[in-house]
Amino acid sequence: MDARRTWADEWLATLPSMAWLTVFFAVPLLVVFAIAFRPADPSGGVAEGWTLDTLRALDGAGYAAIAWRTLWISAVTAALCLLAAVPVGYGIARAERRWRHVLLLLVIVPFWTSSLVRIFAWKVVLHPDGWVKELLVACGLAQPDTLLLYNAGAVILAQVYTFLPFAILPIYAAAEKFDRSLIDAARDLGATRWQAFARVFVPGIRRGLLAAALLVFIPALGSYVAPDLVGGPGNELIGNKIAQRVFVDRNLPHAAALSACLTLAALAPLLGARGAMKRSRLPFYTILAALVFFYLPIAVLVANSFNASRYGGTWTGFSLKWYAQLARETVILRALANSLLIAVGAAVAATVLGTAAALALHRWSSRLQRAHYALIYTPLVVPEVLMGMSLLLLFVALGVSLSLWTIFLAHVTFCVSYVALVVLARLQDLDFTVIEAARDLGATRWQAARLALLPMLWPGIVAGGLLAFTLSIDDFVITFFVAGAGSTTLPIHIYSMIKHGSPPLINALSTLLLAVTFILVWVSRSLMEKHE
Amino acid sequence: MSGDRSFGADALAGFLEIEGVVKRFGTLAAVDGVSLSIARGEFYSLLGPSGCGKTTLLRMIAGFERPDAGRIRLDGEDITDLPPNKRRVNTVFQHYALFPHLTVRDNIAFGPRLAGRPGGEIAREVERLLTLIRMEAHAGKRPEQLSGGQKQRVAVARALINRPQVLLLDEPLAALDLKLRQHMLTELDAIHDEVGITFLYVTHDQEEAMSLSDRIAVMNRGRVEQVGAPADIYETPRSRFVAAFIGDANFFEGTLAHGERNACVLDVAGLGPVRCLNDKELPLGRRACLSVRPEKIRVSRERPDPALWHNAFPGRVRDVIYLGFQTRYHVVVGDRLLSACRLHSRFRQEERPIRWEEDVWVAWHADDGYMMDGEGPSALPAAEGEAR
Repeated sequence: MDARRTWADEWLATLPSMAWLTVFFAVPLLVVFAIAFRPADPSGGVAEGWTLDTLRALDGAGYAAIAWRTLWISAVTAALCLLAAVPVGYGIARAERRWRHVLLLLVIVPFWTSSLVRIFAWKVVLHPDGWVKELLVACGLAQPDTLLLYNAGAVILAQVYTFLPFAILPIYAAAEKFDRSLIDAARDLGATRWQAFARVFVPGIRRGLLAAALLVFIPALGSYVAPDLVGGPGNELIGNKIAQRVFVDRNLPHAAALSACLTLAALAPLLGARGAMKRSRLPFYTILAALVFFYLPIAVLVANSFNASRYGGTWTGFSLKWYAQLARETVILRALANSLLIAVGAAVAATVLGTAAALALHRWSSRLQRAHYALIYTPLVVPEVLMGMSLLLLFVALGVSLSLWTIFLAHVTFCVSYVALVVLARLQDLDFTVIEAARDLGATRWQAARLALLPMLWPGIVAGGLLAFTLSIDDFVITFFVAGAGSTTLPIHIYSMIKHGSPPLINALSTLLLAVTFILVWVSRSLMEKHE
Repeated sequence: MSGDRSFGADALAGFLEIEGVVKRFGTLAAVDGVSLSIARGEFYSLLGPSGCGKTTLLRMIAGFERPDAGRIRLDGEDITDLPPNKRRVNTVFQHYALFPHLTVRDNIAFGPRLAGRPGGEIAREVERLLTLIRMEAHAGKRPEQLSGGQKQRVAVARALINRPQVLLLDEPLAALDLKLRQHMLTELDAIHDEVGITFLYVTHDQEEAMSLSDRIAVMNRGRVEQVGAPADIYETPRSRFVAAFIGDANFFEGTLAHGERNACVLDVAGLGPVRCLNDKELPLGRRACLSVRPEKIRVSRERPDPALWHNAFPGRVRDVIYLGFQTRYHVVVGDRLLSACRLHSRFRQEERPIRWEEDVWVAWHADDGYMMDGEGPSALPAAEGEAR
């Protein structure tokens, strides 16, 4: 093939995603690091000159305690997630084929609903007047004045709840590929069930374990919502501190310095640390327990949406009044419309950029592609708080006023990477002789791409697009940073509802969202089955 | 159920005894009442097409499946309900199932380490087996760095180190190419001689089974069709299926017109009387099936001497397949196609080899056919793989 032509092709496929991520991801990130060396302006901006004062200040102000708390809570979260995810992933992978998909869906579906709502559901469950508390008191496990909420335990619980699917999925993927005859071989050579599991299965899925540990630990380091909602004032993590420095203290250099530390903490485990490898037996019971764990808070939330009482703790009778009230809230409808608009737009844009990026990454292996890959990969491991803040700084620096547009730009930025990796995975599974066959039968390069490659790649593109849509419609943290006054999205509205009380309305809204999610999943599943 | 008793397998002391074993998957009986008796030190093969139940039977002996009925005894002990790790039986898996995260040495040492044997002893044993399989130079490699034949040898060593009473081999050569397969055959044979334990070998390849085994059990549709030494099975197949599966065969179905033991005549529709031996002493008028191996059939231009060649029919050559060490002829005789072959070491000396569309004679001796009962319990429907 003509060398100049492939060179042009490579740049054509690489440039869009690369330029986008450079402008909206890499540059803002570097700006954040730079600002850490600037003095703070008392009026809330960034002053001129360079200084190390900000970094020195990290010594004091209780930062050490916050950093330590962030680290141990994230580590415990990751360890607990692995402990639960290994038997669950193993059990699902060993289940019969038709059950496998159902179980996977059951694990994933709750996580297609608002992450805010899910944490809020725990807040309801653990409420001082809630039945869990009453049950514990009745069993003698708690005193009437024990507080289940607003402690490190509640934060860990909410974190595990949020991140467990991220641990289950890679472990399931590894377990599914794992050669079952290796277990037979170990048993044949004298291993008990337990020995075969520990000595052959666990080492066999070590890459999945590592991926799971990182996928939980890194976002947990930067989490904002869980400590904010169930942690109370004594349990703030670095993410909360950064947000506080930005929005309350308006001290950008401090926020930037904290963000820089957070990034280093997030990158450190990537450079070689291995997650603790824990195991457990009885996969069936753990699947059951995991599903109860996933659905219990949601069930409580749905039940409460029909509760006449304003407070979750007591049942005073069946009522639809919260739904009626919800229908009168036009603000919610507007927020929903905003969310949908942004999600559709961001998903389309990210799918185009991400698919081109995946094609470039797969087709060429030049130095350019190595840089490209790094640029695609890092947004996945950078904590959300940091990405939100860096984008905010970019928009402020460029004098762009915050609006739906800025939210759109931010969402495309964090979705591109996900789409690219999903499509890339599909590309790596493809049989490329089909394309050669098409060329052999007389197709031009474009025809071969359109008639052979695209139809095979389509499931990956659709999956990437759907992932981008769900990420966008659920995003709270990044949106929180870049949303302007008139541009409220649904998660932002839900957050303010949670913060400023109207729990029954949230219950009703969440129930509706859940119902819509389940119906969508069900419809798409039956469509896919028919297709097969 | 059907095969072993009349073939005197019980005469050999049963070391591994399989009694009326049944395994169903859903409504399908994968193994349908199999009884076998395998002697100590024997090289025993389970031979059959894919789906005949041989691997399921092997997995029940290894302990990966539980039979729905029947018992399995090893050296007098009932092992039917023991888990795999409690049986003194080890397996060489079809795709080797080497642990990818362990080196060759650690793969081989896996079993004794689980058993908690002392480190020095394990190291000595591993070295001994590495020598046996001639892999000393590769002990530190991981499975993905090995060739197919090397993986195969490691799998054998890993299974042998626990000193099993029976070594189970599940199509161990299926993933290798032809040359390597032939080489590994000799190697396996040598290992069997060296270690002297019982080998139970599962394969669909008749050549492997024939060249290695002391005895073979031919399986079809979950049942044993015949048990015997390779030569017995080849020369005196008990059923049409066995005759067709082991080597090639021409089948002639007909009615017994003359019943004498040594001068019997089978009346074959479309061909006429065929002379054969009635060593089973089937009664007159009985339906029977005669099997004649291609190498027993002679092809010639001249009409053969009827005193020497009891059965001779004129035909026309449809196809000549030159295979180097032999030549195959497909000859149309009446409304049927017969397969004959000729060892051809003298091909180059021959002036005028037989060609396509030539008129020829096919002929065979009366005692070169083998007659099977066309009725009764051992009469089975024709299976695929008849004379090709």
